[in-house]
Amino acid sequence: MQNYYKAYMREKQARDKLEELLEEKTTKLYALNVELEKKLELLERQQVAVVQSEKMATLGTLSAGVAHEINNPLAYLTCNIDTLAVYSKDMNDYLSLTSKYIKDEVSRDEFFEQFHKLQKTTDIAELIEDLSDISQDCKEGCERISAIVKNLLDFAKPKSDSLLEFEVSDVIEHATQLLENKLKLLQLDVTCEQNLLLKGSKPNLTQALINTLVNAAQSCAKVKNADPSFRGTIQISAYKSNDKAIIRIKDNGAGLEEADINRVFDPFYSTKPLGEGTGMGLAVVYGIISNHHGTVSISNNPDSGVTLNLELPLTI
Amino acid sequence: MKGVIFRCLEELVIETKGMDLWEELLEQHCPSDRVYISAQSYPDEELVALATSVSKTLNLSMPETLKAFGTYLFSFLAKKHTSIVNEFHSFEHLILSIDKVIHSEVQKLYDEPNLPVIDASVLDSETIKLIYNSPRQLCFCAEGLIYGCAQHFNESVDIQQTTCSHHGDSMCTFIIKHG
Repeated sequence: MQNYYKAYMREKQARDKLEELLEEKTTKLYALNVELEKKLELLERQQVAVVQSEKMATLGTLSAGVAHEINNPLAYLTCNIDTLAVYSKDMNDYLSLTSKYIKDEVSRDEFFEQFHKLQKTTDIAELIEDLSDISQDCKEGCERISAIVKNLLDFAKPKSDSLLEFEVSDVIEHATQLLENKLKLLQLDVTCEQNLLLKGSKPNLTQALINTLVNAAQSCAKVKNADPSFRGTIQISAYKSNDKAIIRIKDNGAGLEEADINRVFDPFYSTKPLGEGTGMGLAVVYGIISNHHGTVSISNNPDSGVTLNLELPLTI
Repeated sequence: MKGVIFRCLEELVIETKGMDLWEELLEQHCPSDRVYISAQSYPDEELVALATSVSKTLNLSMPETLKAFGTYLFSFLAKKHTSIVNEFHSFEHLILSIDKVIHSEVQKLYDEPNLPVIDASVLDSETIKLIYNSPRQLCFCAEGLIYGCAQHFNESVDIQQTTCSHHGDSMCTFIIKHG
């Protein structure tokens, strides 16, 4: 019996020792896990900062085009305002004469005599018609500038924590509007199914699409430089497949070296000449799409250029 | 229930009644290959069956057995986790830290420990109100643990249980006089 007790005590001691060891390891593991969670949180914060800084870099790239887009309506606004200044003098003459007539400062005959003189230099019917056209043009110009500025602000504002529901077609429209100047020398074909609803950050997905389109446009420009007769084409198609939205961006540009295909989503990896491009464009696309529980892939087309394939879960 | 509780019962039975009784209890209530390991979880029914048999052997009521077990359990745990118990300078300090400090340390060590919810507050310098809430309804064991804690800090305590889940209350309340 004594021997059995001794054997039990030895076994109990072994269990105690092993449990002590297990607890020690568990405590260390717990501390490491806490450390890891902190690092993950830091990484997530840094990822948000990278997306934001890439957005600012894109804004830099877009600024010349956007300035041009604003300049066009601004030019006819300026021109119309100059015309309005001339017309205001003519209107003043008509109104002063009418005022004098009402106050009996000029007789009826004098009034008609001076009125006909004014009519010879400025036809009042034309003046009324022109004023209406000018004010309509000015309104349209202001609305155009306002839409461009709104697009820019929507795009540039930092990531909001709140997840919103929006349509794929809105994201495509927003991105192509911001890039209007960059894409105007290319043939852009957009085919997008309606009611493809996504949930997430619309500015960030716009950013992903802009980065992709900028790459496609630059790739087409590269071919155009070598062959001026080349006509660059970008095709954007979006459709539903099961519970996912598929967005395809296909260009007929220079394409990628096979060795680059697996690396284009790596941070700081760029196929562009030194000093051009941050090397973060597609890495940011990858990060944004992953954050939306989607996938992104890229492949060379059989003829020319590449196709970038985005798959994002639909909300319904 | 976590194996550490079974291991404590094993030690208590073997120390006070010998190995034969423990072997008998295991044969009666547990699978043949049963060896208790602290970090592992075992069925609650096994603990209840073992404790019921112990109370019959000792000729004590179930509440008395659980109370005695709770008192022993405190010294068993304090011996196993000296670094945690040494963090507390007094009986009151430890009782008030059960939920925030002790249970969070337990959660670090054990997966899904299913701990009771303990809410302790000071009524005056000598009185603590402690609310125990657990679907396991082991309030007698909790009372024993409080006695064990008082013994550890060389304090005398008087515990009145004003509400009890065994009597239809939603939770158990202890008024602890200490000093």
